[in-house]
Order: sequence, then structure tokens, then C-alpha cells
Amino acid sequence: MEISSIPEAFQTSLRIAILSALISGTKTFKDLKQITGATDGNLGAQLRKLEEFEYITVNKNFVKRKPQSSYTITKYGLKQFKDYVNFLGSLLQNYDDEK
Amino acid sequence: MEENVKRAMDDISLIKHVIIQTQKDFSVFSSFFIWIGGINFINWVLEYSLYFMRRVIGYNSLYYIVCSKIIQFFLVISYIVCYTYCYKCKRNSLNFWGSKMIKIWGGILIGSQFFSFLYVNMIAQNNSDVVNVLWRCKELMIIVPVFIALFMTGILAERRIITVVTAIISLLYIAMFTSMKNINFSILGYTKQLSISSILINVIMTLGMVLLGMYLRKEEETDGNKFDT
Repeated sequence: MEISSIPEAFQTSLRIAILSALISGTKTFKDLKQITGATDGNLGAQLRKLEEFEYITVNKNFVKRKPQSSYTITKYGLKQFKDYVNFLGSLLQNYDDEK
Repeated sequence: MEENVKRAMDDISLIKHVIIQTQKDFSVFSSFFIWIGGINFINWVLEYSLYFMRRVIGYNSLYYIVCSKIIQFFLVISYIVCYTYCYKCKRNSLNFWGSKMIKIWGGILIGSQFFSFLYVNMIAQNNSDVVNVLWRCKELMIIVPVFIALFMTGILAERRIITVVTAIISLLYIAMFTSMKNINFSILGYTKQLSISSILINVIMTLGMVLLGMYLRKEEETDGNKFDT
């Protein structure tokens, strides 16, 4: 991965926070809101984007007659996330070596 | 380059922060169980001391009446104190997962005491067989929510051993409860009749809770469910 080729999914900190939260398992919209501290509108928009990129899947059902969406990271999303973390690690390593 | 490095460092620190928040951190949670075990042990000692006190100084003694009122609320007050300490005072050490689990356990332990108190006060005061059976069922109000919470803990913590042990103990408890067998418990020359199911409840709530806390602490030390941050 190169700086110029960082996937769009990792270009906002909220999307990175969402993916990091989903590493430990499926989370509901409410859980993600609590973890990230984002507003409903912003969180919903970023989740839709990640879903479009096929990084996450959404499961919509009803709990006590109220709609509840739960989000899970896909295998592809997990692989991309690992690649991105490795890339960040190598970037910092190179910087240390150059110094 | 400097800008890229700064961004990389910001992203890494954000990822670390979120992962620490969401991983299954047992640290406060394990202490919570050890305290619950300790509280139940003290309650058990107090209840039996009260029983022997009653035999020595009589039902109508003022000391006995005052002590019985204090001991009646000891467990629920201790649970509230323990829950408040873990949930409020240790809030900074609790992550998202830990705070959810403490809420579930706090609600179940305090709630079961509250409902059992209501139940006992609603039972008719006479000595018929039906009333005796209703008195025996009081222990179900305490232990069934605990079994449910233990199953939930096993499933949510992804620790199969907790789920399996809870299933075995639940079956053992059902067998003991339905057998309605009693044993005589003697201490200091006084004998008390105890149902074997109530002895099992005491063992679960004292030794069981301490062992669960120690198991979770051991898992915490070996980084059982932690992600390498």
C-alpha cells in the first residue's frame, strides 16, 4: 500500500474508528454511536459508505417493535484493515530508520 | 513526509483507543465477582451467627431484633455498594464491554434481592403445606437469575467452560431442589436443618463467585481475549 493508494474507507477518522470497533464483533448502531461519540447523521452516512465499499454488512431487524441495525466487518474489510495497520506500522518504521 | 507520519501516528492512536474500548477486558469484572463471593460469605456467617444468637438469647431480645433487621438488608446494601463502586468509581478502568457486563450483573443481583424481598412479604403467614412450599421457592428467585447471568457471561465472554459448568450446576441444582432432601448442620452444640439445594446456593454464591473471579483474572493475565494493540 502507498500513501497515494490508501483506500477511501480509511480517509476519515470516523470510518477508522468504526472498523476498529467492529474488530471485536458485531455492534449495533447505538453501540457504535456510544463508542465513537459521533452524531446520528454522520455515523449513518459513514456506515453507508463502508457498506458500499463492502467493508461491512448490515443486518436489520426489529427488537421490541423498534428497528435495530447491527453491523459486522466482512472478511474483505478485515483484510483491508490489517493491511492498513501494517502500512501505518511500516511508514513509522521507515521514518525511524531515516532519522 | 512529516505530515504523513503525524497522520499515521494519529490513526494508530485512534485504532488503539477504540480497540481497548471494545475488547473483552475482565480486570474490573473479575474483582466484582471476588467481592460478590466475599459479601455472600460474610452474609452466610452473619445469618448463622444470628441463628445461634436466637437460640441463646431468644426471639424477643432487642439485640436479636435489631441484628436481624440489619442482616436482612446486608446483602442488598452490599450489592448496591459493590455495584456503585465498580460502575461509578472504577468507570475510567471499565471499557464498553466491561460496563455492559457490570450493568447486567448489578441489575440481576440487586433485582433478585428486591423481588425476593417482595415475594417473602407477600406470602401468607401460616403453617400450611402450600406456604411451606412457597417458602422453599424463595431460593428460586435468587438463583435462577444468577444462572441466566452466568450463561450470558459465558456466551458474551466467549468462554465455553463458564457455559458448560453453569449447565452442569443448573442440572445439579434442579435435581437437589426437586429431591427436597435436608441435612442436619451442627455447630457449637446447636443443630440446624438445611435443604441440600440451599447449601448448593451458598456454595455457588461464595466459592463459585470467587472461583469465577479468579478464572477471569487468570484469563486477563494471559491476555485471553485481547487484541495486540
